[in-house]
Amino acid sequence: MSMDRIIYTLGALGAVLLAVDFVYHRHAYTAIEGIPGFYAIAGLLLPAILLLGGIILKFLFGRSEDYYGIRDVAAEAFPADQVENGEKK
Amino acid sequence: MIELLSLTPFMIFLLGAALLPLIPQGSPRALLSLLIPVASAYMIWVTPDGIFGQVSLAGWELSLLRMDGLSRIFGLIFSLAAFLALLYAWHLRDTVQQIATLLYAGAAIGATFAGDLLSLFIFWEATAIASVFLIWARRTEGAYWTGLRYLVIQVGSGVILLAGIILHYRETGSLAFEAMTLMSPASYAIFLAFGIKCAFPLLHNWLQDAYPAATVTGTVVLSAFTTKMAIYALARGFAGTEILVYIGAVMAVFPIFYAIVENDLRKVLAYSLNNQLGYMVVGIGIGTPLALNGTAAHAVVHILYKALLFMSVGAVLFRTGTAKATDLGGLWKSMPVTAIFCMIGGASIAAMPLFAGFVTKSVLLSATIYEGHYIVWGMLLFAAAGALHYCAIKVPYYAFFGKDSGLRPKEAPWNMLLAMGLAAILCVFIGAYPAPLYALLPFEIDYQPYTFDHVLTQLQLLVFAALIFALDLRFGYSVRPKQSITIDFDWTYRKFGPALIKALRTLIRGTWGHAIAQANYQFTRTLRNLEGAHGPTGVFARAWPTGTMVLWIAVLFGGTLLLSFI
Repeated sequence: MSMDRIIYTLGALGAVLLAVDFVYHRHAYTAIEGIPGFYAIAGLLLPAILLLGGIILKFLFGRSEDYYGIRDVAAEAFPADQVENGEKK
Repeated sequence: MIELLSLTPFMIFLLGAALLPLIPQGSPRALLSLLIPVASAYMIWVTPDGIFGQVSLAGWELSLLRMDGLSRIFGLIFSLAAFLALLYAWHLRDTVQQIATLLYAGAAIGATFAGDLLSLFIFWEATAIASVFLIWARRTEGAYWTGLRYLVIQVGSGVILLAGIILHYRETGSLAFEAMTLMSPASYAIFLAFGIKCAFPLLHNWLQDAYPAATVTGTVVLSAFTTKMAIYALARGFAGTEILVYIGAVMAVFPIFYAIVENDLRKVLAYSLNNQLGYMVVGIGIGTPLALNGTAAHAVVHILYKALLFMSVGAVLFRTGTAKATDLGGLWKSMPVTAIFCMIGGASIAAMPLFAGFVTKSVLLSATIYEGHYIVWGMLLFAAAGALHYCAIKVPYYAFFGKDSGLRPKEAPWNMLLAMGLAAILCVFIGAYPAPLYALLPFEIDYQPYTFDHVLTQLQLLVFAALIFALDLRFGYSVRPKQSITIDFDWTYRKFGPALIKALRTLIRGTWGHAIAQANYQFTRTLRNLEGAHGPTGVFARAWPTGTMVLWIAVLFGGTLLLSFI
């Protein structure tokens, strides 16, 4: 399935779910949560913040894999004797 | 029955670990190891509430088996986790890891049933020592150093716990492990010790450092026990401590930023583990029966889906030799079953309706909003949207879909598939029918996760979040995995601390060397000047008559005479 089709499906599904909010009155515990479309907006906004945060984090603190040298496993290969790719045995 | 009760579940593991090397390596040994958690679960299941297994040690009364609602559910899920992990490791022919797994699981279960602080301390340290072998079993230079760092922090937590226990004993005269209030140095020390193993913010780095460094099977084992043992200890000792609400909220939020940028998928999962612990810590901090039920229930399903996710990524690592997002992709073509299990784990952690996370996360979210913690509730909502991305989308997408890496490994071995299948079935079963799980919870629960409102709001949140991430993947605005790491707080003790010490060493060594050289130079110069003036060839020597010496000797004698009179 192509990415575009996934996006259209999710968009359509989201539109239906959002529409439900306007015809059905939810039981909310807080005023803000009761606003129709609150969870839809949260669903759009929160991941956007997350992705933005990720970009900033990576920009500031991204380092090469061998940053910690030999005292870390990030740059070393996984031991071959602990891998079984089904070719032998 | 009484004889049975004087045994405690951890002894079964201890006995099993002692017998295991005698059994021939291969299926017989794997089968025996599987029987041990089954026996432990049976024993926990049949033991009624109460305190058993009392022993006297150096004048102290220890109780090794305190059975109540809280310890029972943790004991059972630990046994189940040990079973799944050992089944997953059926193919393994490494005695060190087999024994370490049994001792580690046994120690965690022992800590769960410890009725007094002294036995808690012993099991607390035992988990540290047993588990480090699962990291060292990778047998590389990097794993050796990582294991050392892990051990220092884990044993350090135990030492702080012991200090707290000693202070607590001086204060109260009791070693009983009961609810405490955070007010004295004793309780702060115990709280800190729990917090280290629970991976509180800034105390968390051991987790993301060590778990991706362990072996394929070792990481699955590690993911289940240490942190959830700490969750249990916090729930037992500090339920209702308000600061935990805020610690938990921070804990639920900040690791997801790391989870979305890390390249090593096992590290992504380690960060997400940290974030899920945040939910449980919030529940403990709220401390109402509903919240504590939510914490216990979430611990159970979290162990299941997190083990499932680690198992699926472990299977990929086992077959391809890498767990890095940049090296993987398109594996669903040759590992379709593992891919499905991975997605079930992802759906569970994202709290999709009908999957396990939904029926427990909603308990915690409800408990938070009932108590009026609106900001914390918002943070947990944020974390829920994040969980969708880093686990439910990122891990399956980059491992099994995404760009084709060209790798066509064989499907995972049967034992791994079976272990993943069992975990996946449990995730779906609990998600669809939570009543049996709710019945096991420590308090009475009257909660209905499947209301129209819950399902609707959760679906709205997830569908729109998924839409954002799909758009992001399609248009590529955000962080694509790169062959890189992202430094975290451990930079302070892995880079800054050593660099600071090195700088201080250079400074002190330099200053000292300079001071010594200066002193030497000055001393030599003074001597030389004296020699120049008073030496045999000096100016004064030439001018002095011999009588000067006689005069000085007379003065010396005079002084002696004077002193002897005083």
